[in-house]
Parts: sequence; C-alpha cells; structure tokens
Amino acid sequence: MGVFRKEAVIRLAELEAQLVFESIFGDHYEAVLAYAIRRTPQRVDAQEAVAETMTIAWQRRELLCAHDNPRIWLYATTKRVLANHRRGASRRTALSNKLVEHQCTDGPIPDTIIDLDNDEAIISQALEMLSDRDQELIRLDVFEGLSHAEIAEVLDCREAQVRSRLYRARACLRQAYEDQGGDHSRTSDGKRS
Amino acid sequence: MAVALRRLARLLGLGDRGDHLVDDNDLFDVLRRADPAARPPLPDVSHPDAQQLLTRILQTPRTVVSPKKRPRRRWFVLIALVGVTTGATWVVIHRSSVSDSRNVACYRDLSLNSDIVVVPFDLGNPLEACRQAWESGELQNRKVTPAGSEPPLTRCVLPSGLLGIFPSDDVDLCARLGLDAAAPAGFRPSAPWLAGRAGRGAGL
Repeated sequence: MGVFRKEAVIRLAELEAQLVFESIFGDHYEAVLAYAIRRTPQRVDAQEAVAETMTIAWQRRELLCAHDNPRIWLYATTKRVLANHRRGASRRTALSNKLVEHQCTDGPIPDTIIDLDNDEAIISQALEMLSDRDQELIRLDVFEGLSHAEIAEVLDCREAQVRSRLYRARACLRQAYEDQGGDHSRTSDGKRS
Repeated sequence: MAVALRRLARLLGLGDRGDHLVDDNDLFDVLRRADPAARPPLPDVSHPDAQQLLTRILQTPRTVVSPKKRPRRRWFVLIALVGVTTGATWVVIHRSSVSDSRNVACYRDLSLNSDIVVVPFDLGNPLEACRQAWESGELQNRKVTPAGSEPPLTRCVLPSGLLGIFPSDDVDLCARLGLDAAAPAGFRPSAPWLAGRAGRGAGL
C-alpha cells in the first residue's frame, strides 16, 4: 500500500511538472525562436537550437520552474546552445575549407552582397561589424527589449557593466551605420522623409 | 535637410563630439524594422512544428544531468582537504605524542612545580623507568605512597614535548594540569631513533 502511494505521489508530481512545462513552452516558444532566428543565418538552425533548448529545459525543469523569469533562463540556455553549434560549425568549415583547397583553385566563395541602398540592410550590416559581445547587447536591448538587469543575467555579468558596455555598443553601432552611409530619415520603402 | 547640414558640418570638421547624424531612437527604429524575426512572421506555438516538438520533448525520458565539474574548484577542494588533513594530523601528533623521545620526567607530586627526576630510558615502557626511580627511593612522597613502594602512574605530555609521569591514577589529571594526555599506548620509539641509539651503544 505504501509503495503504491509513493508511486502515485511521484506520478502526480510528474504530471504537475508536465503541465507547468507545457505552460512555459506555450508562453515562451515564440520568443525563444525569435531569439535564435536573430542570431543564426538559417531558420532551420534556429529551430534546431530551440528544440535543443526546450529539451534541456524539460530535463532541468526544476531549475526552470524555480526561476523568477523563465524567459531569461531560456535565453541564456539558447545562447549557450548556439555557441556550441557555432563551435561545431567552425570546425566543420575548417575541415571543408581544407578539402576545397585541394579541389579547386577559384578561392573561397564570396559572402552574400547586401543591397546598401536599403537602410535596413545597412543597419544590419553595421550591426554585423560590431564585436560579438556588442551585437548581443544591442540585440537583447532592442529586439528582446530586456532591462539592464535581465541582460546582465543572460550575459552573466554585473548590471553596471551592462550599462557602460551598452552605451559604448550604441555609439559603435551609430558610428558604423553613419560610416556605411546610413540615413535614418528615409522610410522603409527607401524614400526620404 | 537637417541631416545633410549636419553631415556637411561634420565633413568640414565643425561638428562637436555629441553632434551625431543619427540619434539612438531613430537608429533603433531602423534596427527594429530590420528584425530578422519579423519577416516572415514566426510560427506561433499552435503551429504543427511547435506541437510536434512539445510532444517529442515530453516523451523524452529524463536523464540525470550532473552539474558540470569545474577542474579549478576540484583542485581547490583537493588542496583544502590536504591542508586540513595535514593540520589535523599535526594536532593529533602534537596532542598525544612525545617529541623528546630519549628522556622521561618523573614528578614527585601532582604539580608541575614539584621536584622531578629526569630519567633516560632505552626501550619499552617509560612508566617502568619512573617506577624504578620510586622503587629505588630516588623519588619519595609520603602523601602519595610509603617510601620504597611505587604509586600508580599517569602519563602526560609536557609543553616541552617531554613525557611527564605523575604519581596518580586520576584520568583527568593531565587536563587539570593543562597538559595533553599521552597516547594510550605510550611512547613507542621510532625505528630510526632506535637505530641511532644502537649505533651510539645506548650510552645515555
């Protein structure tokens, strides 16, 4: 009887955890997917990263549920997952580059050329010119709309550091944008306001 | 127009440090319009892909995820453990053993200020060395025992490291005198010391 009761309690706890996880998944899936898409060139890669993040979240659901703001926990986890993917990809790229060197003489394939007439393309390019750390700060601030304290938690640093780094990152972005000939007075269709 | 003028002023070197062509709000508006997640719109959680993912995750058996071990922390724990062990060993050794292993101090009374006879001893039980001092009458104390007879003896470690033998069977005597009790087994000379003694012909 005691054994059955113990099993029932465990089962109940599992069901409760499942319900909580489903709720968190529903609330944050879209935000986490957006986070990943903003940091990976391919949507397929972003979806893979989200799947991995959510699996980790399920495995560590006690940590996730105990967190005051699960979205921050999920962003921080996705950041680590993407970093792992990038490390793997760079290893693969290095290997394939070695193979290419032996196979062709035309040199590496050029990067995709962005239409610089478009202000949005210019700002995207300006953002890419910043350091990885500055890009992440700007994205967390502008796209994810996090507070300084939340950014500090995702990046695992102090809030005061976020404030000063973000100030510098904004200045760098503005400079890079202006250097690229960006003009904010144009509307999204390319016409000047 | 304002932007063009500011750009011109900047080219002519007339702009100051804070005079930017673009202010942050406008810049971030442009950046938001360039959000890669906005075009095309993201699938929401009701999308079949999201639902399939959720089902797949919930069917995943739970694996025990052990926290990542940090080598630095492991080293720190190891060093701390070695330090604590060494310290504890030192304390134990110094609490209950004798550093001067060639002589024993036989006290006449239950006080550190009483007369003593320092007796060299070679091997075996240090109590025996003091017992002989009592038996021979070298040590006498009528309050403790009649002349020529041996009293019960208790071993303590003196602050100097010498073994002190007191005429008492009180097990708390060492503590009352502010001394550590000697190891129950008594003094056991180490092998190198014994070798040294043998080499010198045990002539102390």
